[in-house]
Amino acid sequence: MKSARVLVRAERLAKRFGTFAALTDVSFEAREGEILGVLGPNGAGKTTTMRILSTLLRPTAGRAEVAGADVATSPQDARRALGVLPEAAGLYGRLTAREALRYAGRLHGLAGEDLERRIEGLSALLDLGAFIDRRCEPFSRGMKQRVALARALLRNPIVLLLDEPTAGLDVVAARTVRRALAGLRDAGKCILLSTHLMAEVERLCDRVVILGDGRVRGIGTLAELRGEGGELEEIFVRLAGAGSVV
Amino acid sequence: MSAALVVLRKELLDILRDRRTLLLGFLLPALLAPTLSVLVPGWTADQREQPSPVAVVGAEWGGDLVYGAQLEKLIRVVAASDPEAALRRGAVQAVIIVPPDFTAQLARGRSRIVVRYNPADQNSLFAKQKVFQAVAKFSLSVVEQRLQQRGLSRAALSPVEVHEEPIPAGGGGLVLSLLLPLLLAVWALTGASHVASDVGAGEKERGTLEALLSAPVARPALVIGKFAATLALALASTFVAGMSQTVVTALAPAAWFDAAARPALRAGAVLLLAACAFAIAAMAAAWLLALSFFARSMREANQYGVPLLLLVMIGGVAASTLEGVLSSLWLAVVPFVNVVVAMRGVLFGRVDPAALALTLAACAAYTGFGLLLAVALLRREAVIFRA
Repeated sequence: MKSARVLVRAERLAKRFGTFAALTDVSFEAREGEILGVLGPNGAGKTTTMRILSTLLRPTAGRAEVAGADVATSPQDARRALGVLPEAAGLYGRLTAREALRYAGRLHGLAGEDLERRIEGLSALLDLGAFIDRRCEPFSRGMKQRVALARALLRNPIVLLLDEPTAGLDVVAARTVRRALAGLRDAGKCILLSTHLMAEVERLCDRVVILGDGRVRGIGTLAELRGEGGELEEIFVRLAGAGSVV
Repeated sequence: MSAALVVLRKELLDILRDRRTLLLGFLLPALLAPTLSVLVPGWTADQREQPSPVAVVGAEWGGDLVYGAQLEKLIRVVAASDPEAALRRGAVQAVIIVPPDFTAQLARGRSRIVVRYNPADQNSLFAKQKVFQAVAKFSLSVVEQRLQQRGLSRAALSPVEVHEEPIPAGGGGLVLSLLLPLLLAVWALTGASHVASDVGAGEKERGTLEALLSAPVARPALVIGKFAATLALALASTFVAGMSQTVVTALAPAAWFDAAARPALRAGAVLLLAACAFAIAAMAAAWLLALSFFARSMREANQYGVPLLLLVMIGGVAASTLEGVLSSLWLAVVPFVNVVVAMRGVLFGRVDPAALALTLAACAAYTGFGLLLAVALLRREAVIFRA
């Protein structure tokens, strides 16, 4: 793992919104073939970190790189390496899931047979077959989440930023997604996974960065974080400084 | 396929599946435009042509005055036991009160009648005008009799006779020239408003904006694609409104317009009108799109469109007044009003090439500014995540 290429690097990242410091001095790395869990209670800075990495926010200080591209100075290069499942993973209700995926694919420069083949592949991987040709408007949260995840994976990106990818999924669908993510990690992808589900972290994440009040409170493998022993949830609560796990 | 084309194609597919688009973009302009500009004025003209129902108190003393008014089909005498109440409830549109000594006073020189009407009722105002018309005709006939008794003819009273001979104006006709520019401007804005709010603020509302902006597509390409979709629908609305109005005007009953009021546009004028419609639709699409990106929600975006629509309507209505106050070159740089004035010029057959060129150039500049603003807004974090 140590010899694997660093694909995501955050160096002393800071982000202020007016007088509010959303992030302060946040540094971490993620490598190819690794799932890095980004944990923290609400307001800890997870979404802000993800948005900086996905080039939507500019850091107030510090720098971040995705696949070697500075997200502030070379955002287009960073976007080409990224697949993003944002917190608000909405879909166009009047398009079918297939049309929505075609649109996303074309925006990423895919076309023709290649695009159709990838859509079919993701449909099989995420079990979209039953509703891929239906309009998205009436989809359940779980169906929307799976289509949005397929959208993030469409271009076969080397870095994935996933915010709560299993939120709203039933047990079977969540398992399908977790298997898919593990497979992607094995295929060399670098995945940043923001989640509130400790069981998911334990099953999937190779390393974890815990944020609290916009600062890094802990970073390492699960074994390193456990250190003196204890459940991950207890460690999380202690490090994040949160009164409760949300 | 370029990113802008990808965005345009998706937005058109998305928008055309929205029933509101069919309603606001096609059905309403097809029905409302001619209703406001042709059918209502036509019905009003019809109403003016019909004899007004009038109650007459003392009809037996009115003699030739009341009889003549009926003969000329200006009024229709309606029996009413309580004329005042009938006027209030609209059963009659005016009440004429003829005094018992009407004829005797007339013989002595000058008589008097009273006309009661409802100033809050348009039909009652028409009826009053018709009674005045009837009285004027009756008075003229009395004067003619008096002149004859003195051995004089009517020519002594009005030595100059005027014949009206309208020439074919070759333009849009009075009705179209006055109303078409304003209506095209309004439909350009209305058509653009709905689409702009959907393709701009709608991205935030649906939660699709973050994923869209994370794609490796330059912001200007996104804006151009969305602008092109908004413009296409604005032009479609404008075209539907214009065609519908033109067709209904052409098919309207002959009694509604005289020959000079009917449109007779040449191909060149139609092309100039199309250029003006394109200019106003582009300007509306760019500005509404920028406002929509700024808005938190589609509802807020639509709210921003309302004052813009009002400004255009007020500007359009005031255009004729402004034409007398400002020079045509100054008017050519006032957004929206400039296109209304230019279209009126085309329809009246009075095109000022310099003013028209400046109008189109100003519209292009305002459109460009609106697009630059939209791109700048789409780059601002505070706008993207404005909630």
